[in-house]
Amino acid sequence: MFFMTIRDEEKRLKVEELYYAYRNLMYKVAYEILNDHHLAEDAISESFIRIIKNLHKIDETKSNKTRNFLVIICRNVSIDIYNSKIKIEECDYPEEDVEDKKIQNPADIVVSKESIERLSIAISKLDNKYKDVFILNRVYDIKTEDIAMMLGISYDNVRKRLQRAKEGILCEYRKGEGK
Amino acid sequence: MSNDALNQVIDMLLTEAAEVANENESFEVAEDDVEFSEKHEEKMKKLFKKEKRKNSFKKTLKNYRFFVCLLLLVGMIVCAVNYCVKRQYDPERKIVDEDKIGIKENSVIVKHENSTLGNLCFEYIPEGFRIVSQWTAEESAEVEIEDGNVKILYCKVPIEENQAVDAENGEMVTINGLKGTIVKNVDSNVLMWQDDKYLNTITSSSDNGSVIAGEEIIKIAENIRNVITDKSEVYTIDNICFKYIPDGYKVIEESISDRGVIKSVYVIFHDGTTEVSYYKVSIRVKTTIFTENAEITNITVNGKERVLIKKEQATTLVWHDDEYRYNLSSSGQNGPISEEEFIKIAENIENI
Repeated sequence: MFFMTIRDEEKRLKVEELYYAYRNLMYKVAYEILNDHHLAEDAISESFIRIIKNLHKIDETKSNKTRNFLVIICRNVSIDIYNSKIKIEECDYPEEDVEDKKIQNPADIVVSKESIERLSIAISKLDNKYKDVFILNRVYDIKTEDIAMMLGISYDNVRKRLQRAKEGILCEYRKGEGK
Repeated sequence: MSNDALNQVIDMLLTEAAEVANENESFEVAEDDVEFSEKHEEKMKKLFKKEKRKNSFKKTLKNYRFFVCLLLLVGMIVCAVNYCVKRQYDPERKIVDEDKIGIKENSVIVKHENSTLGNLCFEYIPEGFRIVSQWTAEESAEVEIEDGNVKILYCKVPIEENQAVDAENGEMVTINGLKGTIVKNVDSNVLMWQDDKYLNTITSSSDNGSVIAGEEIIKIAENIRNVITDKSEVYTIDNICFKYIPDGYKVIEESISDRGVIKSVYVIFHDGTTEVSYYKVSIRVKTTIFTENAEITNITVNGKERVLIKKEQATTLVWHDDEYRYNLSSSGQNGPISEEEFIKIAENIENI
């Protein structure tokens, strides 16, 4: 029993490993947005507070998937801090864009390797605010309410962003088809 | 193929494409080591320490759950026997363990439902200070109070047989009739006292060396007691009291973020199918509520005007004062909680 306790104590926590592995990268991401050393540090610590609650979503410490997850969280926390510092309102997104992007016939998409490749390109072209929620939801299997908590935005906002991301991807896909 | 089936196929493709897009996303790995400030490193260490403590507690509980259950069972049997024996010899005896009557105004109650310590009530907290974190185990508790600069940590742990307190430089004091010692240092003040079962300590410290006076620490100690609260009341972070929460709802998450001028507090209740969430954020942060297809009405709650937004899948109540915007919402698999219950919850939220 005693030795087990010691082993547990010595074992570095997953969150600690993540911090030491990615703090420089996260700092870079945060600093690019905030342009302030202390605020970037704040963004890192706030990101980890949010990451801890979703630690079970992370399997390996050193993987692209994990690195991207941390970057998404850190980027959004930094934007949140940036907005709160300069009193920018949480933006509502123009409805007309959405109307334009609505796809008329989803049956146009053919199930093929090429389609997946084209859809993935369409995803990468999305604005970060839509791409991040979409990736968190689809790749990391995080529920809408958890994304809202994680990114500090409302449930409805996440739902809208997901919907608009999907519409944006399908619209981009169709554009490519026309070429 | 039906529309539903088509949408399912598209969803599947999109998920696969999202994984490919995420895998292809590349960020330049920062090679240079950033020099982080000592304050930041300290903050992160504290975060990891807290997480480690939580993990080790969970792990211990998991490893020894059988023994814990057995101990609890034995404990309950012993208590029941003890109670019956006492009742038999003294039938007139009234059991008054703790009383609710007379809780002073501005008291802060730290509710420990799963702990044998009961609910701790801090009847005196120095001005400007507030409870920022609380942790409880079966027989021990930690409550952290701070004003943004000075930290006060209250700990209550069972007395171990070979435990000794180094009170060489200490000054003897009396806390509600119990003997205690206060050790005053330049950068910290520590008060220790014990009752028949527990060792209590209050430590005051800060990063810049300022501490609160020994007399204040003694006053806090003298004003900590156990209380019984109504079962329906739920006390959460930021000293919020939900005086009415329907049966079956439990707090699943509470969080506070305080960056000086910007502060936000989240409390989420869930009963397995429906969620009720309370959100409070500094007035300078603008929030957006989508009101498409919503029924919007102005209602009065406790004599104050509020806006009720009803949608098929969610009900939201918003209001504000000079300092904060407030949002109470409910949503769930089978729709939101009934309006009657929702309004009753709203009527019974208090900041204590």
